[in-house]
Amino acid sequence: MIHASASRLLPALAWLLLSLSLLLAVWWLAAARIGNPVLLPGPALVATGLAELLGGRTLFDDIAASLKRVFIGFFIASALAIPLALVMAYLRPLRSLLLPIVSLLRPIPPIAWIPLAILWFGIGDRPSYFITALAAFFPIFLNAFAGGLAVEPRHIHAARFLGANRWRLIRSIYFPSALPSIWTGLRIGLGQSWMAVVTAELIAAQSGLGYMIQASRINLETSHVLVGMLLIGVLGALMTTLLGVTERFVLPWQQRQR
Amino acid sequence: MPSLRIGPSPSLRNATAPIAANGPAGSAIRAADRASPPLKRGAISLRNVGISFGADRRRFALCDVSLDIAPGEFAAFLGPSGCGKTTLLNLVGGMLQPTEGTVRIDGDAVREPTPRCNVVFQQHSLFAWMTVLDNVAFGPRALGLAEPESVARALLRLVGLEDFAAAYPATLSGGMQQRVAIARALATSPDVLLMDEPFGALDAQTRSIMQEELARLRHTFAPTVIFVTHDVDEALLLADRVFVMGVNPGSIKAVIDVDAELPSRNRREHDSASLSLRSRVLGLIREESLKVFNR
Repeated sequence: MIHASASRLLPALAWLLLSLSLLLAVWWLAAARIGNPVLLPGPALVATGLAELLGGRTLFDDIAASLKRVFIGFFIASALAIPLALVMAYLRPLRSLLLPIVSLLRPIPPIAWIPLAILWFGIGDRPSYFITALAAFFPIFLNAFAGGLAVEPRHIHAARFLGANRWRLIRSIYFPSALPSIWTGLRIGLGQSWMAVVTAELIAAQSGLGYMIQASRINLETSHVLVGMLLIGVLGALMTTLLGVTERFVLPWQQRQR
Repeated sequence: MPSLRIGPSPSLRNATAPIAANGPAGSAIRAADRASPPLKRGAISLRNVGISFGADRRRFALCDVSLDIAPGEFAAFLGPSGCGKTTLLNLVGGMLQPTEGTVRIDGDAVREPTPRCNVVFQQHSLFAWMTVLDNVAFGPRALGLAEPESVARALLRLVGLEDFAAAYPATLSGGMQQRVAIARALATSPDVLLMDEPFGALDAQTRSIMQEELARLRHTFAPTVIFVTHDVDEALLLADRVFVMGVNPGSIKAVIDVDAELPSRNRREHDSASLSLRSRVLGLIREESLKVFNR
């Protein structure tokens, strides 16, 4: 993937097309067999649905609303989780104090927080920020924490022999040591956040792709439901790919190890 | 082969090699050298040093060790696993604190790792996220030395890796990584160089080349060297004195003055004197190893 040269690019693209064709074929067969477009519309109907939606303005507004909620929630989660995780990895008492709380809260799925989110924040953007931040927080926190704990003692010793003061230790040893883990956490967190925004919008919003799916279901416009679902999949896959591409700039020393 | 003197350590005063570091780095080095007092540094002294553990502090990893190592001396430590060789090295570097006795370098008690010493571990001690050049320049930068990059490049040239300055450590072979680690450790001109089985993870051929390289660098830089190893031949080849350590508790069992016993410089040649010394040392270690089994 990372060393994809021009000669390997074409087969990779061919595989992608083949894979998507397989999905389309299975879908088309299933739709033909069921024979009820309300239960499962075929690819052609969904394409028509997409064209209809592209004609209106609300689809782009919904995409923008969902993306905004994910990025704001994801940003809040990163800003809280990374410093907290690194400080907890560094300070043993704080770790002992807070780790049980994390273990207790982590298994609660974001969807279980939605009733509270609505009570606290009403309907709209703010409960979605809360839910997306919550969903991204734990993967980011746990990975950053593991990264903070994984700093090699001999790296710390070597740096101190070489004259590094505390600030240089944190900046040049602790942070880059933890960065691969932090990066993994960010990638997982973004995926979780994107899934959670749809959940939140199904219940606690009046815009966004999740809301669009819900509204289309009520109107029995199943083709629009599927357009929403496919868009969620495509956008999520794009985000993951984008993060994968940026990785080589963030973690240049890791290229050979993948 | 070019040789050079780098950094402010007055121990380099004794290096007979001419200065080959050209340009501003070289002149800065010479200025620093002139400014320091004409005193050899890096004298290590341990007095009744022990490390005990357990609830009652009655079990000793190291017990009542006293020894003196002269500035510029190459001291190798041999012994079976668990004899406390690495513990002793960690004490000299300040990575560990003794529970009894004192460890001093040039009269100052050692409390924590400082740039007075530097260390080369067995493997994986390079900063993976930095290029080779940044690894070697780390010390000069942290210490605020002039022209850290020129110093680092000069060191890399000395270990034959100037072409790999921009590479990341993971792309280098084990032997090359250890050469970078040695270059990085020498870049700050430490008075004391701590080497914890630096060639232990290398294949025999690479190890033998690295030993020759270390012998050469050692005469250029002339730090005091604490060299922990399992390899008797390596110890006898490189060291001025060999300390054989015993177990239960970890302590110094015998000290062998290799310089006196093998005055011939070419220690690779196995004459009768070196062979008998070798079997003597092996016998001492074997005795200690058996103690562990027969306990």
